[in-house]
Amino acid sequence: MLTIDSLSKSYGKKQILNNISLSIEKGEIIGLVGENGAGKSTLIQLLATIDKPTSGSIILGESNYARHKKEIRKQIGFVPQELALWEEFTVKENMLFFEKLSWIRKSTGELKQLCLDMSLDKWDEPVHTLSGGMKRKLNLAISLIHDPPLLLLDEPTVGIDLKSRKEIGNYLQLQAKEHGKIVIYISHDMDEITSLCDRVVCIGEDPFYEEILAKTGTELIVF
Amino acid sequence: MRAILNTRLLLWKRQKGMLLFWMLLPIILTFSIIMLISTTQGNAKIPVGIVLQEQTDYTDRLLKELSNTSSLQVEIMTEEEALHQLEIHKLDSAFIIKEGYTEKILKGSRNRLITGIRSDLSFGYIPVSEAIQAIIQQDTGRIKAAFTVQQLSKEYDSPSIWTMNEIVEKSKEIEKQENLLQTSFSFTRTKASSGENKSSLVNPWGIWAIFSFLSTLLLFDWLIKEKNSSIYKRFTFTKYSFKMYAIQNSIIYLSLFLLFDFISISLFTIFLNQPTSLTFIISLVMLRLTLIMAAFTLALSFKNVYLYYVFSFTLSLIMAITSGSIVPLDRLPEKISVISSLHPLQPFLHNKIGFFWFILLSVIVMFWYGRKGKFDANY
Repeated sequence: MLTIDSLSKSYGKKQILNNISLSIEKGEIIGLVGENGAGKSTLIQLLATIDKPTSGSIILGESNYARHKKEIRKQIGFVPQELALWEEFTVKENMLFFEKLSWIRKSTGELKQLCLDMSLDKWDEPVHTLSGGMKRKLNLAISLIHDPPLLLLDEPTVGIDLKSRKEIGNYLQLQAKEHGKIVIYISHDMDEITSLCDRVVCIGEDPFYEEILAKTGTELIVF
Repeated sequence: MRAILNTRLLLWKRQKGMLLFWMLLPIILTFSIIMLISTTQGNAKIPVGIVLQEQTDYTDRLLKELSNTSSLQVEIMTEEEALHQLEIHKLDSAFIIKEGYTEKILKGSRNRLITGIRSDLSFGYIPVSEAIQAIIQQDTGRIKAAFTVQQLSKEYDSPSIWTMNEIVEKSKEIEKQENLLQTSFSFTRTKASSGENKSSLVNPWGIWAIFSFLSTLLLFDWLIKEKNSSIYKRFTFTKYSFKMYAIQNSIIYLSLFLLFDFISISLFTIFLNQPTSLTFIISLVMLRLTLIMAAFTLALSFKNVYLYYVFSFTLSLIMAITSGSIVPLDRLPEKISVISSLHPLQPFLHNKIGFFWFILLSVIVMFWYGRKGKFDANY
């Protein structure tokens, strides 16, 4: 379980996040929406221990972020918006490279299976020859090497084809429902958000999101 | 460390050609420059013709002494050939060792032993004839000394009578043992120079040090590239922080550089007759550590890899000029003591162990390691 309590973040006099409180259960997929600059990425960065809140606390399981930063990081799978890959490496070499740096050891077979689970079958192809969708899948696969219980995804499907988007969505649902992972997901694609997420958190009041989500019946939490 | 080595091997697999090129560059360029200097020196030798009208041990010795003179290119030829080559200016000068040379030497006579011929363009005639005179004087001096020793033996009824050859050989032996012709000169109140460890134009280790400095800086571009790449963010969620990854990679690079340094020692010892001692090896290891630290701190402070390349070439050029290893500026570092004491290559070039830069750079690296990272919330 992830508990966010009275979380605020400001840069100087500019308040970005104000008093956010939220509890997320295992197996839940949470969508993060809001206008550009509303604070979605800031919230993801706080949850990813990349930045520190001005006030408030975050607790993952039994561990408090302020006291167990190292332990928390082992439990986070962070998928950055940009592709964090070695373009000149093959898919296999990328997976092996990050497996060596990972907290846990995995065999080449296990790494290959991880890729296959999300329909990434170009194991020996150099990354620069892959389609955008394949690259996004690899970007996600690398973040999952150490089996993290909390997945933080910053627009993981931006600019890719519908088929790849669907495959990534299905994989994330499988991870949440069958493996009990918590998935927090930033996206501007409302179809994707409504079909994938259990609840949606909107940073900043916006009637646009409220209207769309009211139609689909997805629970909306506004901060 | 094994995990980081494996990641580095994956990266090296893609760059093995370039890696090998920069690792071998100091060795290849040192050999090339030394060979170029030797060839240039060979081409600049004064061509001298020798005409032998008789051949004995004494004429052979004279010929050997002349041939051993580094600035002379000695050729044996007939008188006609020598005159022809002088006419067409293929020879600077010619010397005819006349018949009866040995007999006159043994009699102690130093007159009309050799005839020297020169053209109107000869410039080496005087120094060569002076060199010949010196050799003849040495030989006649030995013979005269041998006569005196024999006469003294007779006068004082010495029980053992030495032959002329025995005395001459003994005098040569003493000359070798006592090293009578090698000595150090110095001005009053200044330290005599031993002639060792000087950073001269043809000091292979001096040339090697400059190119090694350059190749170390250029090979550390990985740090800028990886620090600026998108994968940098992932280090927040891996077992190793980027700082630890960078330090362990530097240790891997250090090991690889040391391997090539020891290859350099072996090659320079075998092919360039460079002496090796324990002090020298420690000095080289210290230089390598300093170079790695310098490359590491410099690469950390650059964001643009092309600017870093330009800076590396410029800095290497400045190092080359101020060290006096490649461009001798009348031993500039010795005259300006500040440059000498601060120049990072000077301790190595003088076979000493330098600590200044090593300590300074270690402090900078430790300070960097203790600082908060870019993607690291400091609770």
